[in-house]
Amino acid sequence: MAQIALNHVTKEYNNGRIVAVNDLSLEIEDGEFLVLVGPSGCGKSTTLRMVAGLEDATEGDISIGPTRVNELEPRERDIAMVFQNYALYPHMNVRKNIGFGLQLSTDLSDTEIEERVEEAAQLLEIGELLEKKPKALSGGQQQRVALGRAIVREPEAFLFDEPLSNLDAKLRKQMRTEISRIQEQLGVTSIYVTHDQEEAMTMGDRIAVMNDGELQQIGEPNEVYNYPANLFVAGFIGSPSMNTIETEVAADGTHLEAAGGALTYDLGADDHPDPDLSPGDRVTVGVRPEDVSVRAAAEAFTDQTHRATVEVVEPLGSDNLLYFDVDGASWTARVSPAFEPEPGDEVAFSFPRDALYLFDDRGVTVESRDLTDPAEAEQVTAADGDGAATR
Amino acid sequence: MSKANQSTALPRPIRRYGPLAVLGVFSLWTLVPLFWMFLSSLKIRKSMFEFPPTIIFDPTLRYYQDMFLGSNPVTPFLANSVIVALGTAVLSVGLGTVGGYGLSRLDLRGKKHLAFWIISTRMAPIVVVVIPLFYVYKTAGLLNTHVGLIIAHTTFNLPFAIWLMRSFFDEVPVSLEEAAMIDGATRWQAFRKVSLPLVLPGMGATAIIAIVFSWNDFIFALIFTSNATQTMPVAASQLVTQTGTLWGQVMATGVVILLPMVTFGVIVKKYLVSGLTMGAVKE
Amino acid sequence: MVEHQRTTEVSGVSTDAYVGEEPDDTGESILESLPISFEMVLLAPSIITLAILSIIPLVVIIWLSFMEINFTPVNEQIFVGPQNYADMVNNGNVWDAWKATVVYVGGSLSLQLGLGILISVMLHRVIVGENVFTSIVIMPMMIAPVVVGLLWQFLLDPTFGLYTYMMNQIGLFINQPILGDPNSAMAALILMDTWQWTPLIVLIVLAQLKSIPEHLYEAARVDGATGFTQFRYVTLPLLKPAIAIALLLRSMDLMRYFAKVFITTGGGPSNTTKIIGLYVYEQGLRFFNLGYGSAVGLVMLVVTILMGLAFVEMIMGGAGDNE
Repeated sequence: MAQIALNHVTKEYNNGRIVAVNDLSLEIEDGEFLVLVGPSGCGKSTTLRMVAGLEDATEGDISIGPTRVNELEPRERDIAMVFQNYALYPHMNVRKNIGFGLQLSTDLSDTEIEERVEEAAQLLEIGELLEKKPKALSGGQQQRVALGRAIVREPEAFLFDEPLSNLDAKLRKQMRTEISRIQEQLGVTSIYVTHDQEEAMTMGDRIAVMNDGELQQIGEPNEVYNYPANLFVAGFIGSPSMNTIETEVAADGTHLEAAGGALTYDLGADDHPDPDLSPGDRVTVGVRPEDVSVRAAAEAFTDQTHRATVEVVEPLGSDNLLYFDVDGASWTARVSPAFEPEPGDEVAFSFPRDALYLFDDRGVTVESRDLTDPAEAEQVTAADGDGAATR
Repeated sequence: MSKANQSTALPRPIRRYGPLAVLGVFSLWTLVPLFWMFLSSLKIRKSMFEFPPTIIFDPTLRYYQDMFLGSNPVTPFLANSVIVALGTAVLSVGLGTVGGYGLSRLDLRGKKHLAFWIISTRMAPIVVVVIPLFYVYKTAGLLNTHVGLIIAHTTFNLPFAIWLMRSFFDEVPVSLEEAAMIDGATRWQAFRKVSLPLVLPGMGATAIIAIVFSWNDFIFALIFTSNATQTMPVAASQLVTQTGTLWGQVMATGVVILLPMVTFGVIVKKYLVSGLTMGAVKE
Repeated sequence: MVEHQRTTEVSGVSTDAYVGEEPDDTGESILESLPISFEMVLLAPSIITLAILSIIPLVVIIWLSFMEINFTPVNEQIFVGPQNYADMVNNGNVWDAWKATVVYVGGSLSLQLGLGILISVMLHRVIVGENVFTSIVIMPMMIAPVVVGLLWQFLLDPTFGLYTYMMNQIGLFINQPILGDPNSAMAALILMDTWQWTPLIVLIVLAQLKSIPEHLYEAARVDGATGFTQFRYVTLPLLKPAIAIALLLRSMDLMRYFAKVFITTGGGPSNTTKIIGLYVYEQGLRFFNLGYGSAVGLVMLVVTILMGLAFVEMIMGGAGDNE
């Protein structure tokens, strides 16, 4: 087991014309499960491949344990990797697939390799598949073999490159818990790359959000969710995405006004510490869908009620999602399943001062949702300590 | 719409059996010459020239006997053909497999130009290669040697093999090799133990098609060989003489030349299209 | 073999100071510091071999095209400058050879393409027998051109040829040798090549036909397309790349090879079937006008290279560099 560290790592292609990863520094603790998440093309896979040694870093240092590994071949790094397409060797049966790495990289005898393979197969419940060729296996079974190939090596680190994206939804959830279980059981330092924020939230000890080759934020899942460092993270983590609208601080310094006049919001409404804003500042307002309350149009249920026309109602069973237009931006509200307006109905919506996120004109978070409400405080105590830093 | 339907729709029996009939006629057109060749190689001289031609006759194996056991047996020519074909196949597929892998995995700007240059050496008209090679061989003393002809055939078989093997390696996902390297393999081991076994059938097909190209070549063999190193096609062409042609012998020789190649063709049928198009078309 | 192991790094391996253990670097540092990748090492033997095999003939043929080479009475090489090229432009026989080539290539291509598409579409329709049929049609492609030439010469022989006999039965070519008449000789050569190589077009087009997803036809049918319109607006456009590949391959081969012509007509009667390849062969290697033959051959090379460029562009396209 080992700590993995990236120190100011940059990866350029085509002589610097494309920067895939820009000045990235990360430390993954011994035994930690770190999820690298971001939209496609954000540099997360490149980062993982640099740790694996499949790509050379243009600049910066990568170390696994005490060793700087930049110049080491993949085989010298003592890591294991699970690929998106599993990359099982088609001409070898499952037993050979799993044992191949041991055969190449260790001096173990055939019987010892056999034992380790059996052991891994048992852990993954694929003992009866050992003699089959990959072609004869289902996607989920192939996935397990790929995992087996990784764990049998007992490496310093596991690297996962979107390993679940080729599976169907149900199997994906099942394998998610499976991978988490095995990682916890073995305690091997792991880096897991995914574009799926839900996967990131549920699996990671910490998650690192990347965009455009740069690290946006790193932290525990709740912390990243509740205290996003910037507009990008706020929009990327959470489903449905955070609602946002661009506003300007009004002349009185306490009101926010959307450009079209579709929405004004009084920041002084509650006795809330005013963020450091001056009239004329451009501020993006963000609200999580679960913080938007919606009622029938007739009710003016708070002193800050806004009106909108429902465009789509998406029943999820447990909740209903309402989609409506606010000054050209599509907003979503998560409401009780009992509330079922028709598309075209006018509704009133409101969100409390506490739920507000504010981002400055560079997208940096100025203010995050206030969770000191006693009912919710319990959930976030764990995140709160680190969270303060990002606020 | 219904009108369009009426005007284009053919009566059912035609739609049903039309294609079969067309294919049948095409098969006949393909097979009759071959069939006729085979029959004629079994006919005695007299019945061969009967008009109208006969289909029923007493077959004779005389020409085949003559060919192998007569005063002027073709066996040495057959041996020449085999030596040259095997020589060029081993050389081309050996270099072509390694080179095709390199070309497939190479990440280089201008790779297309490299690939084009490789294949352009095969697209050159035979005669454009023959003339300068003739001059070089004459100077270097390579005329009328097996080595000379093997080299000459390699001018078209090697680029072919590189391209075809490249297309086979293109189908092996790079992630397999990456997985192997993470599993502890060197680049060479990843190539040798993971990718190479996966293209073995392709290698076999490439070798067989290279043999066919070499075996069937006429112009190179005509210019670069003499009596002692003559290959089968040249020997066959020389059966046609000013004073009269022994057609029975010609047909029998033809059968001997084509039979192994047709067999090869059927064996590698699956790879034939991609082989003959140098990997441009995949079945 | 050991040396291959560490050659993967591209140039510019940084030698920054770092903390921690030294990576176990044993020996191969020279190879490692060269801008040579593993792929290049593997590619090198073929490239070197090919370079020798292609550049030597190329240089020699260019050199020859400016020379007059004599072997008798004495070996001599006389520099004649562009004389050979001037001779070529002024020689009507070259132009006749190119004309014959255009007829031969054009005739063969159109016949083979039409027939090839027809057969492949029919073959795509029938469910049974594809295996047997394809086994049959690949046979001619495997046969040496010399044997094909001899076989057709036999079939078309004016006195005992099977096909001559059949033609005579319907009143054609009576007392008129098919390979001895200027018009029918070229037609016969085209038919001969069509017999041998139409199957390649059939197989190429068939492979493409099979790759057209069924749902496209279903969509077309929903949109009201009938058999013919379906073929015209769905099938044919999707066949274009395959047809282009087939055409280019065939045209290059028709230019490259002349063995069948050599065997059957020898370019006759009265040079009507003397295609350019055969012409160059005769000039260079029968009459030993190596210089003049080389000049005409070089022009031929340029033409085929241009066709080849189109071929490569078609299959590799602009994306070739990123493959």
